[in-house]
Amino acid sequence: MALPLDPTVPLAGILLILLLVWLTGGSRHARLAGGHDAAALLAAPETGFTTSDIAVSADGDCAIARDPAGHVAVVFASGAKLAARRLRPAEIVAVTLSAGEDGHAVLAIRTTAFTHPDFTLRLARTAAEDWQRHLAEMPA
Amino acid sequence: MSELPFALPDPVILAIPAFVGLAALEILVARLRKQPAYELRDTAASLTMGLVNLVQAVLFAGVIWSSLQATYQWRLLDLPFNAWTWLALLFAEDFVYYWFHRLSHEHRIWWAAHVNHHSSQHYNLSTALRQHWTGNLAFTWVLWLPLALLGFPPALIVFQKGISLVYQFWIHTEQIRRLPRWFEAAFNTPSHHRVHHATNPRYLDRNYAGIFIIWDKLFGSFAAEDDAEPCRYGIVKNLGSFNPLRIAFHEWVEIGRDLRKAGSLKDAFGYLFGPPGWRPDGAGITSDILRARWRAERAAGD
Repeated sequence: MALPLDPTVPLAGILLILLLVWLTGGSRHARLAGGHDAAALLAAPETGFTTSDIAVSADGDCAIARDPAGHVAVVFASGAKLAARRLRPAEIVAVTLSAGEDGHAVLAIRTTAFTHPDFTLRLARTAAEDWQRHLAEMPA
Repeated sequence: MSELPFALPDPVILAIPAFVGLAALEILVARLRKQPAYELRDTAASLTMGLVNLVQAVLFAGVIWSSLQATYQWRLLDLPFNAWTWLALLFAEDFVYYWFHRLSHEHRIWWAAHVNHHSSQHYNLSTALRQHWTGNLAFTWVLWLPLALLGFPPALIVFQKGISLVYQFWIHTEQIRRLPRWFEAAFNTPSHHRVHHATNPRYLDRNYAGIFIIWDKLFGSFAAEDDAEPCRYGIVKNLGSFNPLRIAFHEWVEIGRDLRKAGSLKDAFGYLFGPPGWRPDGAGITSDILRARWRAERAAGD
């Protein structure tokens, strides 16, 4: 049976485009250099989050912030871009703290989100404990 | 049965080599301009979405074609196959596309099918190919049936739908800033469509046009791109995933979760047909609410 479309054309096209993207430096990964980038992203009107306190993971992959009322949001690397998300108590499944190999404490947050449910932050021990405590008590 | 004197080609299939060539050109131009326009995983996700969209189109072609033919049997007019009929269809199909697109943003059940097209935080020609997998399951195609009822030949309707889709490919780019004023006034352009893909509250749910931007101007959904406020692409709650399955189905999963906790039929109806972000307690954040907040903040700042 003849197919309505010769699949070699789109498949070859996909491979060509991906090769060009790779050759032109398309496998970048975003890193948070400090809290300013994350706070600016959270302050955008569509997120509307006023940061009063922020902690950035030592690997620059993720940041966690709270507003004056105690609500929490995260900023995380999504490929070459950064994405922001508010965390609500009802969607947090687990918050665990463990010792990292590099001397940092590893704060792991698991949520019910269907996309990107897990956030991991490498923080100083006292900061990690403070955020763990805050996540358990944050307002709805 | 074919009601036309000759078979019309599928414009989308014919355009695939041009899609590839133009995307390749855009990658190189962006590189020369030192713009990080493309990202490997994002592009791979978009192209996979496009490929599977082609497969689902083949699977649904029979149902859609049969429905158009069945509707055409009841046509109100016998429109001849000539240039005037095609010209009338060019506008009529674009009018239908405008309302299809507007419904796809304003009602969550159709947003669930359409959201994947907006899920990239990049805006480039590969984003154009990040097409739906579930739109036909959500019966969006029925909006085109009235064209057959009016008397437009089904083959011509399918052909024009393809032309519209091909037209909309090239406007997914940041490499073209503005076109001549007369063109920007009448046609959908890269500038108008960048606004459509932006999450800035002033741009949210604006510029639904397919080919002609006139419908947005007529029906109050037009917003011009302001160079002082660059577009932030993506969706209000960005996915953080390049997995095509998660991209295609995430909103359906969220609808399912909301329906499970719906306290009444009214709530369930709201979750399905209300605007994206709607919640029964009134605490949901919709596009209109974000825009109203932005307007209030701007007014307070003046």
